[in-house]
Amino acid sequence: MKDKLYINETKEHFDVLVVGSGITGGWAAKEFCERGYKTLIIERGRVVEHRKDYIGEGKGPWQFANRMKVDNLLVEEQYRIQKQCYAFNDATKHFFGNDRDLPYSTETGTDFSWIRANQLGGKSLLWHRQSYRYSDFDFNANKADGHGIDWPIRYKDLAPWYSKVEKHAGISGSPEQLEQLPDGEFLPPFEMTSPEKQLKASIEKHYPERTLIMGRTAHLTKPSEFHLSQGRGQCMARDECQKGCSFGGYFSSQSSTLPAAAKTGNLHIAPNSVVHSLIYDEKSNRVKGVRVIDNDTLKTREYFARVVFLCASTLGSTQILLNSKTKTFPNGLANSSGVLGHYLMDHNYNAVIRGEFEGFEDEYYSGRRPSGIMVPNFQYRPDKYSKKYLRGYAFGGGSSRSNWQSSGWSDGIGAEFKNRLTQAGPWHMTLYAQGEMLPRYENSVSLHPTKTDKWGIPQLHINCKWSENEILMMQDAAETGKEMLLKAGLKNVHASVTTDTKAPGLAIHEVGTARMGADAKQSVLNAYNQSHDIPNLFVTDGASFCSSAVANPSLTFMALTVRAVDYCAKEMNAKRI
Amino acid sequence: MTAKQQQPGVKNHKRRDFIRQLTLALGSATAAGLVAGNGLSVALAYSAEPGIKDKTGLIFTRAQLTLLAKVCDTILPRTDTPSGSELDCHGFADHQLFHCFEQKQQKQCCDILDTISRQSRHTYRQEFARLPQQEQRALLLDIESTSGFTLEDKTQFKFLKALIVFGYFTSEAGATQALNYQAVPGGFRGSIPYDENSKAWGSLSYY
Repeated sequence: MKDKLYINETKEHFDVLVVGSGITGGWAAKEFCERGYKTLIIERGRVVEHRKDYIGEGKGPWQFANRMKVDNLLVEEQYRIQKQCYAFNDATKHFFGNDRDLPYSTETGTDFSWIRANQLGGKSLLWHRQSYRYSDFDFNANKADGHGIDWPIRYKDLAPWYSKVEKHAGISGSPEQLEQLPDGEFLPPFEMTSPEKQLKASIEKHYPERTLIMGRTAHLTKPSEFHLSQGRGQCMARDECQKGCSFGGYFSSQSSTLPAAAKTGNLHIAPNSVVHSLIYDEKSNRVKGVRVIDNDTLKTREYFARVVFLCASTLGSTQILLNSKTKTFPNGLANSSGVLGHYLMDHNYNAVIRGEFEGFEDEYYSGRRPSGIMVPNFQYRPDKYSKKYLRGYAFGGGSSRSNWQSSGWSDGIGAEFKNRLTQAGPWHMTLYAQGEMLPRYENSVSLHPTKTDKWGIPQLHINCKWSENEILMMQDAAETGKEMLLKAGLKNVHASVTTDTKAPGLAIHEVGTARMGADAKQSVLNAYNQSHDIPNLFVTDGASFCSSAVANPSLTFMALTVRAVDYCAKEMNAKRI
Repeated sequence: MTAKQQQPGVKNHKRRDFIRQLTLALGSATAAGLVAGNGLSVALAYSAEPGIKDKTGLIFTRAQLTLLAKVCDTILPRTDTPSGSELDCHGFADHQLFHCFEQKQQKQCCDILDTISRQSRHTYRQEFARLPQQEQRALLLDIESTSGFTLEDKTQFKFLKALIVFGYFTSEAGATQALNYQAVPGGFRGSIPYDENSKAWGSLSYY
């Protein structure tokens, strides 16, 4: 089957083209393949095989040329933007895009850090794996305060699809009965440390409407028979996930959706295929296929199908639509509304609070927990909003004992100093604010009028910045987080705000630019992620979001995708597509 | 010094020239990709070599390297685990500065070594390497307490010291013998006992 899995030139007419193989593309392909549709994934990057291509996995720092740091020269020439990602190092760099080959421009006075992962599996190999359901307070937020348009769906529309993807992917977490953060189908949660339990007790005592829970994450803490049958195993708590995980301990396209899709015999993958634009038929008002430029040879080829699913990442999908100009759609395909490219959002991760616990010297932890704690958003509806800004934020974070990485900077020379470095130091707690970013028309992407990349595709021009609302929110988050740690008895509590130094993009939660909506005049997609204008065109990644909400978006990418496939399959059966 | 001993430095200079030439021919992304992708970068991976003390460094002169080896052993002396220079922290620092740090940082490391050397001759009328251990330690403590040294000296020294510590605990012996190393923990437990005889984890998520 393997020789048929990867294809290049073909005359075959497929049922479905799925552009992209990351979190959404993997799910779209699996769902179509399992329904019997002949599916072609079009992936712009190279093939990454599960296990075989995890070349950084399982190595100690001494096994790398520069002890996990990346050579200056290489960073300077190829990774100036990607290096800003916390997970970028010598063991993971091959899963990040090459900035030299992937240029984009930004509007004067703005900046945007666009993190790329152009290979089979996309960012599903690199993601942080936190997995949360959105609630009706999220879906209702735009309508309630008038910023952005209303989501055309509510929680009940998505709930069964959340359940479906959670069972397959494997999400660990604790049921909490919180109205702003619905429970899911959970595997057991990771354990908290004692200091974290103390902070939880203190927060719940001092703030009756707040709590602290274990982060929900796509790791197999206790794999089911079903997960084991997929060839996945229990998470080993290495927390080196972005190198790739041969245990299949976390959800990725490689560990989970692609094998399921391949098992059906209906999956084909065209790697190294950079989509230039969609092929549109004016007469039938349908997309017919895609124009592709070979990643390596720069030769062009085309693929054809009955349906096209864009799952190329938020900005990737929008760039393809913008570059698909036709007579009917001179400003980008499926853009009769004119909002394509607008309402770009990222998450506002711009306040960090750190403090030191006293005590617990006789306790440590074992293993490296690939997750943290979470203080769910407690300003989740207008009557709970701060008076200074709209919407809310959550805190992620965790505790650990300090080690040589910090004590190496302390004073001391000689045996006593050396001995101190081998000991676990004081317990620290860190909280990171994860705030909502308002949808604003001005935050947008467009095609650069003259600059192109090496495939001849116009570069994306990004115009995005934090607004006053985001800045005020983070100032408040810093104060609030500080107060919470002080009330729990922590010492040396410091907070910092980074809205003035950190550009949007680095949360790697970019969403919006091809939003859903009930009104075709104000939105690109309908409630099923289907283009209002062109019935056989769907966009199911983050581009479809109407608001950023507060929680991490990936689980919602998955749920929206499987729901859209279900709808599309029914429309195909009814011959409407 | 023999030609053979000079090799690492020469090879690395050649590497940069090689990349520059390739860049002209192919465009820099391709060139650097080629270099990163073939065996060359692996061949240049830093590993401890006995006798490195006698070599000229990529950043440091032979004299600076000899001095740095003693500084490493003063900061991290031999106890029940190897000393700094026994794990080649001086050679590591030279290699790491060359590959991962800016010229400014490379220069400040050279500067503080020269300052130590000068101050040793001035105060103790002796090369640092020849001082009794106690006096070596006293001199480095003086830098940290800025007695007879400037705040800038201290800042430069702290940077070099942290680099040496990094080199020590990311070496195989440092990570696995001086500390506890769990390559595959098997799961996470939020609370285990810890006492003064326990060691910190040497296996970390991020370095």
